[in-house]
Amino acid sequence: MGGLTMNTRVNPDFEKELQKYGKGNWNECFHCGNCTAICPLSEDGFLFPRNSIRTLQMGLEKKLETSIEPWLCYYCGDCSETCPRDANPGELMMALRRYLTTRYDWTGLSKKFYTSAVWEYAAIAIIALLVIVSFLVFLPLRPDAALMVNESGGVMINSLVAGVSPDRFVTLIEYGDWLMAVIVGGLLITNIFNMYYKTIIADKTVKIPLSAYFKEFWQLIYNFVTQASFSKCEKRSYWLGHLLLMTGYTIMFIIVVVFLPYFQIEEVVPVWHWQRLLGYYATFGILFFLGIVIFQRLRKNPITMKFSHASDWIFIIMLALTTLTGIILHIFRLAGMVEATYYTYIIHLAVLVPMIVIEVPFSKWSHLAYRPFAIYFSKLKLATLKEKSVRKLAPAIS
Amino acid sequence: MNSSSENGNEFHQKVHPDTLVIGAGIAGIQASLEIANAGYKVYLVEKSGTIGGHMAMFDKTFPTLDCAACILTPKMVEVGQHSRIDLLTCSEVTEVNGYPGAFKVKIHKKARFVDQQLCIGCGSCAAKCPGKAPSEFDSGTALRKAIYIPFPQAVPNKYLIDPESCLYMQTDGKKCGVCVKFCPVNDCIDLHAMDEELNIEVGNIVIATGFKIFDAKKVARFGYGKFPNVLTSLELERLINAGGPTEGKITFRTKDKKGNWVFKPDGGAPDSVAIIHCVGSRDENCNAYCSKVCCMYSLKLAHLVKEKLPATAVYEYFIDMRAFGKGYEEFYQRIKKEGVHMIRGKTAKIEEIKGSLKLRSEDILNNRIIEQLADMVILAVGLEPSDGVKQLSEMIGVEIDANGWYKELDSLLDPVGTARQGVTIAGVCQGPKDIPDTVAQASAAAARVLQSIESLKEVEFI
Amino acid sequence: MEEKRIGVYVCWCGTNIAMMVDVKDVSKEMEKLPGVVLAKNYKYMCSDPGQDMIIKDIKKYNLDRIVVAACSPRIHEITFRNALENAGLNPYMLQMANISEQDSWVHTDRIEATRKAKSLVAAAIRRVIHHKPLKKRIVNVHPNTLIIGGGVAGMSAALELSEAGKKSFLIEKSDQLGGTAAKLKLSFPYLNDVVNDISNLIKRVEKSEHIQVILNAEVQEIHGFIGNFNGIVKTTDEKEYSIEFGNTIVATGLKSFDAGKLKNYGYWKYSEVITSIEFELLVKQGVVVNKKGIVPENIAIIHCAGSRNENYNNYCSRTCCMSALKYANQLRNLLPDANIFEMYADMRTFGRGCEELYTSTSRKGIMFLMFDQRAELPLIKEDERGNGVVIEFKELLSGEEIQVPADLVILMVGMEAHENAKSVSHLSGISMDSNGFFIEKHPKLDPVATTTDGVYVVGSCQAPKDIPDSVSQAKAAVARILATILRGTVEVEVTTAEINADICCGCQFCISVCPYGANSFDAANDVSVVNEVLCKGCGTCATACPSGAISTKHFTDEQILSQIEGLMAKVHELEELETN
Repeated sequence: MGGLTMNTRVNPDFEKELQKYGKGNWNECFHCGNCTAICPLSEDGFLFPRNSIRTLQMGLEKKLETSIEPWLCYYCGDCSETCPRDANPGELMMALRRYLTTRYDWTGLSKKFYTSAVWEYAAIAIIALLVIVSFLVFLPLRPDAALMVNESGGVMINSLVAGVSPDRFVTLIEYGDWLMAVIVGGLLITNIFNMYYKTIIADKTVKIPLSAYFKEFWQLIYNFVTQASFSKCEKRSYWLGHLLLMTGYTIMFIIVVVFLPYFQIEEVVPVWHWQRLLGYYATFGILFFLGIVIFQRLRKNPITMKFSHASDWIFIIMLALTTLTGIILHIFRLAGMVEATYYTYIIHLAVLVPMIVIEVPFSKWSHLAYRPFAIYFSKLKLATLKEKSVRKLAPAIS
Repeated sequence: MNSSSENGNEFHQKVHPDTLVIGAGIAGIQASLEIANAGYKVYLVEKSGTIGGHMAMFDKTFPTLDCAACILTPKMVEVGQHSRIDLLTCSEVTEVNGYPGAFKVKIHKKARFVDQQLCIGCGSCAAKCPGKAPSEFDSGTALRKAIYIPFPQAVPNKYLIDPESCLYMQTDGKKCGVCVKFCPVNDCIDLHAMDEELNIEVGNIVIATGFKIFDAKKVARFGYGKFPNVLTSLELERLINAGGPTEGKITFRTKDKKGNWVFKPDGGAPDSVAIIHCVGSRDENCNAYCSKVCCMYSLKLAHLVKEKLPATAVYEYFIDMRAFGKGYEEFYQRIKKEGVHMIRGKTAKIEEIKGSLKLRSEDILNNRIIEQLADMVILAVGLEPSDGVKQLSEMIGVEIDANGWYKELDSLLDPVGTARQGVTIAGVCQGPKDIPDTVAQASAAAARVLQSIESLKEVEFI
Repeated sequence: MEEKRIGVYVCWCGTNIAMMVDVKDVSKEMEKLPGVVLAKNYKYMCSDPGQDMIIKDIKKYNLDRIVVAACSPRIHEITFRNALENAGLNPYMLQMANISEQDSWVHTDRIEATRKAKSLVAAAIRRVIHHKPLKKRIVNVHPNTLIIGGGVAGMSAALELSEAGKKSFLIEKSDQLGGTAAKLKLSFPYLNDVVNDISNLIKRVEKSEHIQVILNAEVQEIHGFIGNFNGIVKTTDEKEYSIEFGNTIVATGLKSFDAGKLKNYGYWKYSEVITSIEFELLVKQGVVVNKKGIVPENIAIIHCAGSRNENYNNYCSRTCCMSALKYANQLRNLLPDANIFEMYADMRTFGRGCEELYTSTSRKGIMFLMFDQRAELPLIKEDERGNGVVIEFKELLSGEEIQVPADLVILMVGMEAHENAKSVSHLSGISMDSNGFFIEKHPKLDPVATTTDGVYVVGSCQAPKDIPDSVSQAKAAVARILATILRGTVEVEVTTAEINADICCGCQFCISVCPYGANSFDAANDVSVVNEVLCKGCGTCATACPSGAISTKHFTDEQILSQIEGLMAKVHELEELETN
């Protein structure tokens, strides 16, 4: 038998495994430490990206699986831009986020989606088809739909379906929303718990007092809403852009899921109505950001947009389609084009539903939840690292 | 070995016994002396106004810490006095024709404006001269006059005028001209002296054009040129040198009355100095190659700072410590024992906070971020081929690699020969090198020259 | 005693001396001393204007003796001797007072340092009074060269000489030329096949009419001095060659570190562990297997085996990092699916193209791991999980205690001085450093010459070195040698010992102490005699002579005693001044 403490064995194959989640010359890193030092988010207790690169190079899977660091990175790209070896540390953090998403997901679907685009396309297609078929079969266009135009010439959207009263139609859709939210949320919550287990419970080196959970809880909310951490990156515009997208997206999500009966209404509200203003803001935020991102990804510049994984494109395209169909729907409705409104509505949902079902628990969208939790968890850990503040700016070096 | 004339197209030519050496740093000096001491004539062409190159600028040399000037000046003096060395300063090669064994070389000899025979070096001219420019020899840490001797031990030790900073020449003779008035020797200074063209014939050419240092401004996040007390290693070298602007004191760059940033002996000493390795080297964004000497000269500078200012804390931020030569590893261990802090982890950025510099680095071996406050930061800049390498290489017909270093004939067995017969390379122009390797290579280049002349070997030509 | 006319020159050396010594005060004071015609001070005496000043003064004031108070004579004595000669004075009429290294550099009190400078210069003035003109001695140079060691360095030197039509004797201990390089398959950093290059080099050497290769041979004796050596070379089959030569190149190369000494690596214990030398052999045959004959799946390359550790050799062996990267590339080509681990301390890939080799190697799926070379080395032990061994250590870049499985471990053994270095050093009169490497004359400005004129050290016997650097050094030595051969003559030491035959009692003690074999016994006259060409003027015999019959030119008792008197007189004078 060996000694009391068993040394961890290195695993040279792991790097190949991770290449499925993102491409990078991570083995080229010669450990100058530049990336960690240039990153404003890297701090004692949570040093990255160099530590993560090293862990990857050595194939220390357990250590990677239990690390929070990838979520603390917002990918401003400073590390990759200044990396002396073109090892692209930022892209590794991105790949690790994808990898970790699959590790948190107990269903195994996430791994399938991330490592096989075919799987993801198929899943999207199936759900989209389900939506379309359900509508055409159970909620067909009523024969006299052409009459369903209100006094201001707009389409009465809830009255287009045959055999279902407008109120009931909204309720049906709302139930659908809730059902989707419960399933998706449930999956996400179990995944977050999985993340919590791996990063906090399994880490025997820190013991977090219960009080810390309450004391630091505001971090979760605060960081979710403001993405304050990202604002510490030198490129503030990235943070603004990201914030714009995130708020727009979240607003739409809340409106559609929570306030659907107040949103999806028959009359056309005035332009300055909260509903339309919020909708326009969200649309603008999402489109503006998406436009830039698509442009940058195609140009492969800046460096953060150089390497696009299939999951990135799927997310962007789905989101863009959702938004565009939403806009078209809005226009058709205002223009009183009944049939077009109906079919666009179906298409809108046929894009939206798979996007949420696939993206939220299993793919890129999940980072919206994992990030603030990671920050929360990291603060919990930091609270237990007492010396932390003492070390700052201390010149003494052994 | 013996030239064969089996091939009817070959013709034979005796090797001209004179040699052209381009560049008069330590490599060019060594090669010239070896050849001249064997009894053959050498034309030593140097772009600047003095021989000595970078080595003359250094204070001490690693790892033995002998004084650079002390070991170099005897050789410089020897060159200056050598009857078989024709020293051509302020000169550049502009054309190379002919063929191996009989190169016809055109040299552009810029006017020095001061007669080298007549000048007695009294300094009256410089005392009155109003023109000033950053001293090349002091790496810009001090100003020199427009009429100047590059440094006190320069060879030739005669004044010269830099037209760029001369008021008379800049105003087309409308202003100034005081140097002529105050010169005690008649016809010594001729402000209208013309450049000369020189045509020589040589049998061999030795290229020893050396290097220039990496421009630290290219790494913006270190703030060189923005923060006054972020210095290049060469600037620190001049500060430490007793002949430098601060008389050997390590002081801050401070503002003078006119608001210029200058170094002066009472500028105040730093309590902490950080040295950052690999600035511009081992970096795909700058030069991917390793500059070979920076680790060692950084250790040397750390030692010298400690020697001058024992209470000053010195930090070295490095990636890999490349202490490879004879006595180098031992030197590294010695510097560690002297209390210099060695941190594995390259500094990523420097900020200025209330006059102090804040360096952010990862202390890799201790798994932490260091935000270090330092009074002075030294950037260990790498080496780059000197300006004009491309033109010269095309002129002579010798290949350079992608980085601009001259290519040797055979990287393994012929480190000094080139693909062009009759042309040899010596020193850093072939790739970064320390002084012992440079000197050895320069001597080896000389051996090749001597051997070709001595055997009166007929150059084979097809 | 006739009137001496002494000129004294005090150098500022910029601020090097002037900062700690009041040079103006020193020169003013010296002017008062008897025999001193003038005393001057100047910023840089060694510069052209400084030397011109001396030359002009000699002519103008008819000076016959010069004292320069400046740096060590080792640095600028030649400069000023030349100046004297240019002025028509015998160069030995110069005395230097070292007020730099021996005064201004080592003191912090300006007043004391100035007083010391005065004493030192006063001593030099007293001494120079007794200087006598000495004549340069010039000897002819034999055009042949002895080269000890038939590796790449020795062969390159021989070929370079041969190209110039000069003959050399290339003495090789083993039965073939090529040395360490002949064992290699590829070179770094460009990974070129060198087998042909080296064998072509050997062929060229063998074909050269100017090179006499003597294999299986060792040099038994070397006598003589620069330009005029003779020696005896003996082969293993007892053949003896008596040779004459003008210069000697020592190129005895290296030996590799004995991996068995590394207790943590179990070189003798595990059949998985081999040295880099053994690996070169394997790869040259094109089959990589461990000692069990198994094709490895996990290969660990451990850097710095025997280097950079105070329990073994403290120094860095300079080439192993690059060789290790080369091996990783070779292994990747031969075994595309194997796991390769490169365990290093600092990656020292400093030469041209070497950093690039490191980068390209890191793209080939090789795992680089860093260990602490100065602490406890990695431990190799049997793998409980598999067939091979496992290497345990703390990985520095991750801070993790890790295990690396391996069924082939390559130890990058460092370079050591050859075991016969000691005998070669005695034979050729050169010195070795504490590591057994030969000491060059000056590490920077004379990296291939030695303190023994006419003897050069090149290649890895001077310090670990790669092939191009060894070749450079070999050619550098040839430059120096060619220069002496081309001139045909060379100046030799004039400060030799002199025996006064009237006083010599014939005890022969001087013969037994002479390290250069320069003294011999003239039985006919019953006295010892000095062979001036062999004598290096070290003075050992002069101090050893019981009857005081031996003196060394330029270092006579009279000269040294007056120097001491001068020193003490000034000290007393200054002390008295103080007490008054």
